[in-house]
Amino acid sequence: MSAKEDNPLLDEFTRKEYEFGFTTDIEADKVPPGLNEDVIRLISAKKEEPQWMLDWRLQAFEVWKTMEEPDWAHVNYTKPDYQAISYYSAPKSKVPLGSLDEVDPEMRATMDKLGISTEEQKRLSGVAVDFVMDSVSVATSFKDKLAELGIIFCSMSEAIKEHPDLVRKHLGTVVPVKDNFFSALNSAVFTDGSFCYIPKGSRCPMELSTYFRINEAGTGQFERTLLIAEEGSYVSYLEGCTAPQRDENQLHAAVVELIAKDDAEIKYSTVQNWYPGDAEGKGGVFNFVTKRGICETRAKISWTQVETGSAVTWKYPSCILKGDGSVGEFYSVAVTNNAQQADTGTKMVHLGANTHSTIISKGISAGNSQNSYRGLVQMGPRARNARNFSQCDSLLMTDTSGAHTFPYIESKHPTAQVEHEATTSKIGEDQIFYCLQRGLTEEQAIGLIVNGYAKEVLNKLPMEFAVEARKLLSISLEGSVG
Amino acid sequence: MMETTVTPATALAERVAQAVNQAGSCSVLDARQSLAKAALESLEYPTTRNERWKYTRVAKLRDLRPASASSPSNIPPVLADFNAHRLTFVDGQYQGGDVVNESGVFIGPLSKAAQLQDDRIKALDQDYFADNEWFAALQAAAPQDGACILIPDGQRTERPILVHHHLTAGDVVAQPQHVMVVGEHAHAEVILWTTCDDQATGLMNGALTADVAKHGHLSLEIVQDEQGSSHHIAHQQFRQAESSRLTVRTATARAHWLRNDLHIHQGGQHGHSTFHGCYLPSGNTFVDHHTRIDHAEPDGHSDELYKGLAADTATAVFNGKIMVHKDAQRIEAYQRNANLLLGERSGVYSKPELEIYADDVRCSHGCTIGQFDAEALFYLRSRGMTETKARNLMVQAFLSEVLDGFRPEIQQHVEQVYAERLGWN
Repeated sequence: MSAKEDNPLLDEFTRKEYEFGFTTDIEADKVPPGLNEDVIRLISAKKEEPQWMLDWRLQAFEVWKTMEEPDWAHVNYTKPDYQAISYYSAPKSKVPLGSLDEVDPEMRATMDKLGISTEEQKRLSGVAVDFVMDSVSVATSFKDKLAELGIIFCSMSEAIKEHPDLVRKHLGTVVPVKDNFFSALNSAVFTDGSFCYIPKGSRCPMELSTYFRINEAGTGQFERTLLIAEEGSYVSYLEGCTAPQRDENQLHAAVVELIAKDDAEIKYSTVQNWYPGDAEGKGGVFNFVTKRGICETRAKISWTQVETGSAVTWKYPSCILKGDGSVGEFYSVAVTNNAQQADTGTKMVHLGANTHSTIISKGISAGNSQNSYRGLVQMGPRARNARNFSQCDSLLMTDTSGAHTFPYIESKHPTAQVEHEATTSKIGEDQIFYCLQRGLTEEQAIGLIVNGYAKEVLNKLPMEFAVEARKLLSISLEGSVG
Repeated sequence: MMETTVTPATALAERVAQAVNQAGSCSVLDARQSLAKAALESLEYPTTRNERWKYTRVAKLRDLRPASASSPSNIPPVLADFNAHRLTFVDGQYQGGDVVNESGVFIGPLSKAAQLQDDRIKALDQDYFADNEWFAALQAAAPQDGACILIPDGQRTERPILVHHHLTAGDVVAQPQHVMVVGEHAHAEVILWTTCDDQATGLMNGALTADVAKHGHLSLEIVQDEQGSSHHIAHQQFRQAESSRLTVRTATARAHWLRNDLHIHQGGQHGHSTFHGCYLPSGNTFVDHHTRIDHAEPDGHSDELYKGLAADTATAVFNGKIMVHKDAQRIEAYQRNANLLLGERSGVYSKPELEIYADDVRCSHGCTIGQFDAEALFYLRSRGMTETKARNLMVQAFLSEVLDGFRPEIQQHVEQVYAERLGWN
C-alpha cells in the first residue's frame, strides 16, 4: 500500500499549491536571451559601471567558457541551456532608492503578497530591507538611519558606483571567479544584489534583510552579495526568496561573500522558498549558489538556513576559519517534497589554531524527493586544538523518498578533534502514538515532532524569520507521513 | 591506417599481462577474462580527480616495470603451531598445502578446481569491481592462482583454512584470485594472510570473490603483515543470500601502500554482515579502506567498525558507504570509524556515506578523529606507568574493540607487530 492511500493528509500535502506562485504584471526591461561579450557589455552599460568592473566581468566570462558544469552532486536534472536565458531583466519603473512611497503600486502589491510588507517591517520590527526583483534592486529602506552609524547597506550596483574602492578591494576575494562553474558565470553576468559594510566597532542596530524574487519568464537571477564586517562589529543579515510558478526551469546562481575581520560577527540567515516545481517535477527553480565566508582572528560566522523550495538545490555555505580562535557555525533544515532534489551542506576549513565549528543539519524527505547532505570538515596542518562537531540527521516521510549523507572529514593535525555523527530514520510510530493518545490529531502530532526535530536550527533564526520559517515548515509538512 | 596511441596506463596493462603470462596465469573463465580486457580498455586509469581515488595516489604505479619472479626463498612462517588446513601461494603461484577433495568439499588451488571443472567456480562470472575499476579489470584480465574453497550444503570445515600469500623481492607483480563458495547451511572459517619480502617493491593486485548461500556462514579473518615497499590493492567482493551470515575482519598489521576495496551485497532477506577493521600506518606509509554494503533486500543487518591510528607522516583513508535500496525496509545498518592522529604530519581522510532509498530503516554512522585523551594518559601516569607504557596500553585499548573479534593467536600477533612498530616494547 502506498503512503498516499495510507493517509489522505499526505495526498493533500503532495498536491499543495505553491503559495507564492503569482506573477507581477510589471513592465520589464529585458535583454534578449543569450550569453556573449555583447550581453555583458550591455549589462555593464545599463548599470553604468566603471571600466574596471566591465573588465572583471569579461575576464570572468573568459574563465567560464573554459569550465564545465559540475556533475558530482547527487542530483539529476537537464542542464540549462545557457544561451536560452535572458541575463538582464529589470522592472522598468525604477524607483529612486530610499523613497518607498514612490514605488510602483503593483510592486508594492508584490511585496505585500510576499507577506513581507516592507512598511510593516519598518513599523513593527525595524528591519531594513533591500528588495531585489528579477535582477535589480528596487528598494532599500532605512538607509539614512544606517548611514548615521556609518553602515552602508545598499544595492550592489549602487555600491559599485558610490563605494568603488570597497567593492574593488573585496569582490571575489572569498569566492574567486575560478572557484566553480556557477561562480564564474555569476561573476560575468551578475546584475545586482546587496552590499553591506559595517564599520569598525559598530553593532548594526537592526536586522538587515534582502528579498529576492524572480518575476519575468525566461530569466535567470544572478545576484551577488558582499558583506564586510570590520573589526569588532556585528551584523545579522536575513535573506528570503520566492519565484512565480512557471513550467520551465529558472536558474538562480548567486554568489555570497562574507568577510568577518578580527573579532567581528556575522549572522547570516536564509529562508529559501523558490518555486519547487509541481508534483510531477515540472518547472521550478535551479538553485546553484556559492556562499562562503572568511573569518579572521576570533571572528565568527554563523549560517542558518531553512530550505524548502527549489526544484534542484546545490548549495554549500562555507566558512574559512583563517584566523586563530575563529568560529564557524552551520545550522540547516532542508525539506524536500514531491520531485525536489537537494544536495546541500557546508564546508568548514580550519586553517587557524583553536578554531571551532559546529554543523547541525536536519534533512526531511517526503514525496519522491532526494535529500543529500554533503559536507567537508578540513583540519589544516596549523589547526592546533581545532574542534569540530557535526550532526546530520535525516527524517524519511515516505518510502519513495531518499536521504543521503556524504561527509568528507580530513584531518592533518594531531591535536585537532573531529566528531561526526549521522542518523537516518522515519518518524517514530511510538512517538505519534503517544501524541495521539494525549488527544492530538495526527497532523498536530507530526507538526510537533518535526518542529521538535528541527528546533535546534529554528531557534537560531532571528525572531521575525523564525515565525515565517515555522509557518513554511508546517505548510510543507502538514500530514506528510503514514 | 588507424593510429593507436599507447597511453602509460595501457602500456602498464600490457607489461603486467606479459609478466603474468610469463610467470604463469590461471585462466578459469575465458568469457570473464575477455570482458575484463574490454573493460580495461574503456575504463580510465584512476586519478585523484576520480571520487573513489580522491586520496589514493596511484600515479607512481604507472611506471612500474614488472620483473620476473625471483626464486622463492625464506617464506616467513605463519602461526607456526596453529592447527589449520594450509594453502601457500607465492607470487600468484600455488606452492603447496593440504588439498581436500572429498564429498563435495574442495579446498585447494583454483587451478586444480578448474581442471576438475567444478561448476561452482562460476561464482567468478559476476565481478562488480572488474566492470568498474581499472585495477580490478587488470587483475581479472590476467588472473593468477589463488585459493579455492568450496563447501557444499550442510557441511562445515573441521579446522580453519589458512591461506597464505607471499610476495617476493623485487618488482614482482602478483594477481591471485581467491574464490569461496559456501553452500546452504554450510559453514567455513578462513584466514587470509598476506606477507611480503622486506625487499619487495612490486605490486600485489589480488581479488577475492565469495558467495554465501541461504543460511550459510562465512567467517573470514584477513591479516596483512607486509614488509618491504610494495603496493597492494585488494578487491574483495561478497554476495549473500537469504539469512546468511558474513563476518570479515581485516587487520592491517604492516603495509607500505595498501588499498582494500570491500564490497558486500546482501541479495536476500535477513542477511547479516559484520565487517571490522583496524590499521596503523606509521613512517611514510599509506593505508586505505574503502567499503560498501548494499542492502538490496529487507530485514538485513550490518555492523561496520573500522578503527585506526596514523603516526609519523603516514596517511590513513577510510570510505564507507551504506546503500539501502528501494523497498529494502527494516534495515538496521550501523557504521563507525574512529581515528587517532599521532604524528604532527600524519593525516586522516574519512568519508562515511549513507545512501538510503527506503523509509523504515535505522541507519547511523559516526566518525571521529582526534588524539589520546590527555586525562586518561595522566591517570595512567599517576599510577606509576611510564608515558610509553601508558600510550601502549591506550593504543591496545583503542584497537581492542576490533582485535578482540579475531582469534587469540591472530590478536596476539597483530598487537605484537603494532607494539614493535611503534617502538613501545
